[in-house]
Amino acid sequence: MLIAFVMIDHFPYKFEENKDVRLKKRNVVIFHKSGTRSVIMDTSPGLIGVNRGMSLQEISVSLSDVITIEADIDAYNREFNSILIRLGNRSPVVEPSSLGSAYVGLDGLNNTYGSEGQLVDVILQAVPDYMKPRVGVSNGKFLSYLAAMTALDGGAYRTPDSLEDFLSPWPIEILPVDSVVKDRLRSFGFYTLGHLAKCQIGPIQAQFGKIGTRIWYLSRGIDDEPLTALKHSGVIGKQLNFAAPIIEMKMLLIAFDNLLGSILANPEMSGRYARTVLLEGTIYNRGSWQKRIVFKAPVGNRLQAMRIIKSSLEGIRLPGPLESISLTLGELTGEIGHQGSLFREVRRREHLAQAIKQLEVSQGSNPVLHVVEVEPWSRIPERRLALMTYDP
Amino acid sequence: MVKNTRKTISSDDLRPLNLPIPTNVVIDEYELPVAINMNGKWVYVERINDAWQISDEWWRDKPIIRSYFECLTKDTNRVTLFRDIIFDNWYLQKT
Repeated sequence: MLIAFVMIDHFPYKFEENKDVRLKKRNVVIFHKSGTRSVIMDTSPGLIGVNRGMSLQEISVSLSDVITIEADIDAYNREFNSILIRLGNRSPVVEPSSLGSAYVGLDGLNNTYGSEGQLVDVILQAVPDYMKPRVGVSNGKFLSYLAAMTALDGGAYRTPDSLEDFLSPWPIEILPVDSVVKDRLRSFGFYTLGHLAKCQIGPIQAQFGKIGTRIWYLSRGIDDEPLTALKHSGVIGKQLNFAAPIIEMKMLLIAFDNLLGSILANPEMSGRYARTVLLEGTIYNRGSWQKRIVFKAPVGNRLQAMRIIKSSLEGIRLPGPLESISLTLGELTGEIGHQGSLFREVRRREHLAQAIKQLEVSQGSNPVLHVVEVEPWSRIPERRLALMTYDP
Repeated sequence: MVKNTRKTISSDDLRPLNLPIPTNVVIDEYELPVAINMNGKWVYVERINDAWQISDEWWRDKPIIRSYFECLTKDTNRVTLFRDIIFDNWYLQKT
């Protein structure tokens, strides 16, 4: 079972650094609230003496030049989910492991992409460059994880044919087992996978039972743990960032219409209907704005959905200029029969959508753009028009 | 393990069109443009047809204050350029 492990270290930090370049080369600690405690979720790379899970209070005394940021967990999950979707467009089997890492099944895909190298390239392209992903390719989950640990930032590594030489230097800390098991392994003199692999399976089984069998096989590069493909969810959404905050309802409706068109063009939405729509916005220098609309009958048609959204937003006053918005369709009904359209224009759009989808798969992203009026009345020329991904 | 939000969200940015192009400009004692560097060549200003100023986004960290000039060059081309008053840089831009 050929697997690629996609690993993004310091995912929350990289996300925050991409949002605010001033964080570059600074000591940054990202924390989240857990009851009354502020627990460290991530740090900038190379920050010594600060570990995940520590309380923020524990470090604030010793490190004065640290920038602390409260984690935006929803935003991290949104970004990671968008990466999972892009990976899912390249392979049918994607299993998320933790925030920023996922296993991707590669079996049978070499022919689709030409070669294993090209396949790895398209997997790397599924992750934004600023995340500097590392990809490890091997047979099995554990080996692909070790391969990813060996890869350089933004690169890939495939385990060599001679697994013994590759595996034996790894410390036993790398094994996916409890620290108690690792302590006991050390007490028996096993410090590396090589030490473990040299031992017979019997004594390890006698001491550690089922876990012992598993780690002994792992130390020899044998891993048959299956991949569990990510199930597609009952919601689908898309986000749009504005170059400058917007306040005009007319502009907001144009943006929501674009998002809606883009979501409905997604193959996941093919023949499906939504019962709810959630409109969200980030307000400049403030919190967020949200509006949930429940459709009386499930809707799968752009014009119909937009008519309902428009009438729901009528008379609503925005609490401030919006920097970004997102639209999420929820409570999707299952697949229903869908008859090809008799109308030439609709068929033409379907063919165009299919051609664009093919381009997206071959080039990693949709290269077809169209010009949209953003703020045609703006006195700042570059605010008037913009290019946007074209979804017919 | 991070909680799976069961959301499938992707982001899509708008890419602004007609972004200002940095350029070098020679100005006179009244701070009006007399020569513009266009693609490495200096082009002399024959006449300034129009001049206006915009001040916008004053509520943001980087407000926008620009002095625009629509110039007729010696080779009879119309060129629009502006001076960024805050950073004192010159740019070419179609309006």
